[in-house]
Amino acid sequence: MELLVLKGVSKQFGGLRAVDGVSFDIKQGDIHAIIGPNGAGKTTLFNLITGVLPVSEGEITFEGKAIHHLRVHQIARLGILRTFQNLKTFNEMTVLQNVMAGRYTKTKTELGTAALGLPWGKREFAETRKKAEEVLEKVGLYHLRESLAKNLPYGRQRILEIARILMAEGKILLLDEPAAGLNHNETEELSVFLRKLIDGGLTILLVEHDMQMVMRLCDRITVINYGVKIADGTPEEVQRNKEVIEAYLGKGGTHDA
Amino acid sequence: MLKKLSIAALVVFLAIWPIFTTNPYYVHTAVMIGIMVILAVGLNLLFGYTGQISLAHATFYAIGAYATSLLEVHAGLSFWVTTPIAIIFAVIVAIFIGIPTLKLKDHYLALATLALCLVTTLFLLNAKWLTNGAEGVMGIQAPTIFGYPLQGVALYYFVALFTLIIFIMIRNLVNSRVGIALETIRENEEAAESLGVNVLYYKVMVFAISGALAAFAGSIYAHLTLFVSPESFALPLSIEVLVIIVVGGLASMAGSVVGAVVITLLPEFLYEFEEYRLLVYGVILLLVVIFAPKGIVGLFSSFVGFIRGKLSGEKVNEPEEAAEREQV
Repeated sequence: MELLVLKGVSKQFGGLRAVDGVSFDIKQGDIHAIIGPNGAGKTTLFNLITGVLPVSEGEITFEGKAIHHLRVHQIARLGILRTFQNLKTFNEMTVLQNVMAGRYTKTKTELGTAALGLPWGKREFAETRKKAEEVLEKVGLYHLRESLAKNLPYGRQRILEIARILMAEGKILLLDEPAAGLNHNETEELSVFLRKLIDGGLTILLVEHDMQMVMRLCDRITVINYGVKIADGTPEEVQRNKEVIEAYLGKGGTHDA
Repeated sequence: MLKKLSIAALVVFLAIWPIFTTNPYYVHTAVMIGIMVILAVGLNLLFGYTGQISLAHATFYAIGAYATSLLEVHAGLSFWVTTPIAIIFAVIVAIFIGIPTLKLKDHYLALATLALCLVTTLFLLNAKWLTNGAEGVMGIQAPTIFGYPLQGVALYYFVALFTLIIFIMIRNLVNSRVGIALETIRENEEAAESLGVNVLYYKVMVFAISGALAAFAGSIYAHLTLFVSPESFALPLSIEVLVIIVVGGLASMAGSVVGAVVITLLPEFLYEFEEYRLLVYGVILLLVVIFAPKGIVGLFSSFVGFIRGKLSGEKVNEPEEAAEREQV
């Protein structure tokens, strides 16, 4: 079943067509990667899906409903959550608070309930806290819960961003280079972790440069270059595709990822 | 336990000290502190927690003071009617001004609200048909409750009660789902939005709440002094509230209170410097920003942490150090 479908999606920045008529779909329960050389338009694609940038042409549907006219927070409420290539953790908040913030779409307490300190608001907040502690335990950051996010090493901040969106219990996670800045072991751990999430019913779309990880982990891969989709398929199919080898891996050469 | 005891002791002290004084000036100062706490709690919610600076706090304070005074003097309405009207009016103004200006960030937001503050002063001075210009509005009556006038110690109890209620409500707010959402807006708007937080909605709502609180404080001020004139609602007031929360501690409920007490009492000790008040504020602000970026409350909690660490022989700020160790 297709969860997220892009149909002829384009993005024009002045004279530059950053994304040009890209169509592909992401199936429920897949780990789907978008790969392509630097500047190919991968992050732009993420920004189009999540509503950060308006789509110039084309259509994006999620569970059969068009979402490309919605605002960022409305898209999040549908269960589409993302991480950022350049980390956007909440630096001056604790690790625990960072993760609690991710529960926003699943909770209801509004200004009035909160200010009056009504019991159900407090109960919900306590549940969020408990849930956050569980998630932190799962990703191995529990012992750092009272640290400020800015004091965490880079790799841990990446994990923190993922932990944050896990709290939303969304339907699809968009991970923008989750392995960037991680060492080999950490990347390995991340792969295992992402697999577990899929088994738990999530769908993942990721942009990644670590080819080893992508080829081993992903069910499907979409390759884009200069904003145009040049291939789409399983890792084996993509690896055999001539255009991909030429455009992305270089003519006759081996890649250095 | 210790914390609860000291809060209880503080409340008891605030409730009984007026019995032991005959000096109306002390009571007046205490009411002023209450007014400043209300202003500071509102601005701290907006700036400390939500990260939206405003130099227009004096504008909403003026709305509260002038709207209640004018409605009372010209239309004969009582404090109990004029105060809610003033608060609603402040909320409407905050929403209309907030929607365009809160899309701005940092310096631009500071400049836009600064402009609003200056325009307010010019309006109060020049719209003589309404505000009576520099001469101000006279003839305000002390409010009455069951025929008993709210002035002196009675006004003090009234203000103390409402300051406490406001403090508790805003404290509840910041320790909730909404409070976390507000802090995410301060930290990173794009990330906040990506987690489902409607950033502009909360910014405008918080601006309106802080405006409403400032208007309430303004109404109390007008009924404390029974006279209002433009200079009480000019830029220095906006800056004073900002200094209060920075000195007390940004994003700290206790900070708003400590800052309000310190900055309100300061001129009493330095009254030879009255002319240089803003200069003194400037120096204090500079020192705090450099040496105690988390304000007096931040200094105090690091001090307590340090003492506890010494006593128990454990390391201070253990989790942060753990994080640093891992980094190496």
